[in-house]
Amino acid sequence: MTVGSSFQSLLRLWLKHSNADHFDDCTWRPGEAQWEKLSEICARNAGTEFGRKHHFDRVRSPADFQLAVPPQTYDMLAPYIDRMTAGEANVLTADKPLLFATTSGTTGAAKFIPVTPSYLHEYSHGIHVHTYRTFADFPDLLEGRLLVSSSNDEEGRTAGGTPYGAISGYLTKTQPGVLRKFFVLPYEICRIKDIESKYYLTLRHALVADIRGIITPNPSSLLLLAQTMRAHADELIDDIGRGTVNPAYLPAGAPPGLTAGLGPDRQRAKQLAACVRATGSLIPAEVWPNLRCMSCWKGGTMPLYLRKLPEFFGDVPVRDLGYMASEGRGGTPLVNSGAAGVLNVTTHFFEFVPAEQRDAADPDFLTGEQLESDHEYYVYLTTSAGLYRYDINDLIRVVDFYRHTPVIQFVRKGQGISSITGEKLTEAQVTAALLSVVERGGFDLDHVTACVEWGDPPSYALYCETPRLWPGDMCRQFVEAIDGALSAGNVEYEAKRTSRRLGMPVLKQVAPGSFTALRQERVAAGAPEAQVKIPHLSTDMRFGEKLKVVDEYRLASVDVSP
Amino acid sequence: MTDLETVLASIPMFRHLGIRQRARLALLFCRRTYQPGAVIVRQGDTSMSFYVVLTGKVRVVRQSAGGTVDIVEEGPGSFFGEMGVIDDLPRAATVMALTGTECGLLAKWDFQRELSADPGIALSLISVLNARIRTLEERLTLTGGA
Repeated sequence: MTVGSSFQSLLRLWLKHSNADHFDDCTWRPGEAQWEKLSEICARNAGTEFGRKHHFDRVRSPADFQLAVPPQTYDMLAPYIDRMTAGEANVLTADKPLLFATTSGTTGAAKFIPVTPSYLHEYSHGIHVHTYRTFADFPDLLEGRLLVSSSNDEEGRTAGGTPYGAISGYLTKTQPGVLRKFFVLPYEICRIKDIESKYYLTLRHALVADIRGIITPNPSSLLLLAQTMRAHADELIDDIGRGTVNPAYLPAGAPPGLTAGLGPDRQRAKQLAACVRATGSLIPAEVWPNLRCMSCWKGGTMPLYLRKLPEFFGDVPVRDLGYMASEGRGGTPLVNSGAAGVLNVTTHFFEFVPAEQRDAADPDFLTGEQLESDHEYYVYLTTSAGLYRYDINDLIRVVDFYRHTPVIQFVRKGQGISSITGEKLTEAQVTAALLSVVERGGFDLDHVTACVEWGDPPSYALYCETPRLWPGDMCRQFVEAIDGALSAGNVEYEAKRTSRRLGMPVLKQVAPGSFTALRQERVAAGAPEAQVKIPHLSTDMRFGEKLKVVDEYRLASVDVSP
Repeated sequence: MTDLETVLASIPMFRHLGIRQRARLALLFCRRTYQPGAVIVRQGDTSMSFYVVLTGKVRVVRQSAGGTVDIVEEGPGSFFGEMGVIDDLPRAATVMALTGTECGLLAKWDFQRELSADPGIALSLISVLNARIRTLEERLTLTGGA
């Protein structure tokens, strides 16, 4: 056993006793565990303005809490959060925020989530349980190093002087020194805004290491990593051999930590050059032969990216990273199969509203142990970040049970629905249609987003980025297949198409790199790079204006095939 | 309420266990009830538990490129989900309740711990899996898929 494996065993033991065993035990008694968590949050924050106003001191049960506190949206909490960002204490939380986490900005304006020490403890608990299980299943990860992406934790400072940014960057910055040597990327990389520079420098560090595990929220980041490796193979090999970093990728005023330890490694450069000679390029599966596992999001819109991973990474197992956001961590995957995780009963307090009751005047608010298999629910969180009965606007589905605790999978954001003529098309339906068409028809697609195009009749425009421009026949096949798949998955869409209230989809092929540019735009606007999600269905009517369309295919409207 | 230990005694994998062993094993199961038509597990989803049907009736179906194929209908004493919790692959089939159904669920690691602790369970499981393969082969032959 090497030093790395021994250290991993010790770390696993610590994770087991500090977090994993408690979580495992609580899956037998989720109701009790949830009440313990809720009462802890209420007791700690009873003296805050929000806690006093809602009588946290009188809460003796989840039912008391539900009576005392109405469900909250971000807009309802925003006046409190604004005062917190201005530096006022004891408003939503008793403990002072260490930073404000900004949400990914995938929908609407950025939100500020107060990251208090107790919230960070809750958040880390989920990470520790996930890590414990991953260490158990892959016992030699720390014989090499881990490539873990993170985003900038300090985009700026609030009026009160507290930093705001991404939790992932903060966790990297405050990592214990004893752990840091197992992570290949220096903290400073998370602060780079330019995506091309960030990925080049990531590879400059990672290509000289024996990478055993990769963790990044979005699988599209893994594809971007592989594409950057291929596109810049010669430059990277040259830099590695000479111990340099091409200045074109170094941001102005780059801190020394960004390039620390990047000395010449001629032997590694020779190995990589041999890879290029043998395969024509640098491929992750070849340059990191000991890669044991990867972890990223697998639910929602991600399968379209996941299907491309084997081309670059071979058959390395992919474990879901968990249903999580800046606002909280909902589920912890403990196995590789599927995209679901066990509800984090020891992390936050959760409530669920059945999907069909979302717009009801008096919906049922259920707790974890009341959920039913294969049913969909909207999630409401109560966390130590000062979010109380917070409507995160996420739809989840229960896929299994682990003892008495539901195993949940993220389905989509609540507003991922488009309805021009009453078709109520969901992002999940678009993703399912794309997957079925791509798998059956062999269409090679990098990115797709559908959005409404007004006309007579209106229709859906499919903005597609493809490795090469498709000929007319292929465009027609794709459009017809997507139309058929959407009709098969949504009876309202089928009815509207049949009655010609909705037109045939329009295919708009965009210039290569368009979606990466979109991603860059989001990052520049303050979204954490690792978490940027470009939706498969956009309700932003001006979505297409940001893309350069190089070819448009419009089929004359026909009835839906029976 | 159906006696879980009695149902376990009817399952080939657990038949050889003594009364005390079965009683201990029964404590590791959780019970859940399902309405008629409810999907208990869905093909392609994460597998976290092994299921034993205690009361009612379930239908096992499998989706493929050619459509949905009914695999089998089963009642009390039948079980499913053993493959997913062993090989960490997604659910191989969808199981739905045909009538009001009660199942006993054994969590992945509790099930694996039993397999490690008692080779008798593991050996019986091999026979069960063999029987499943034979059934599938017969079905494929009948439908002209083999």
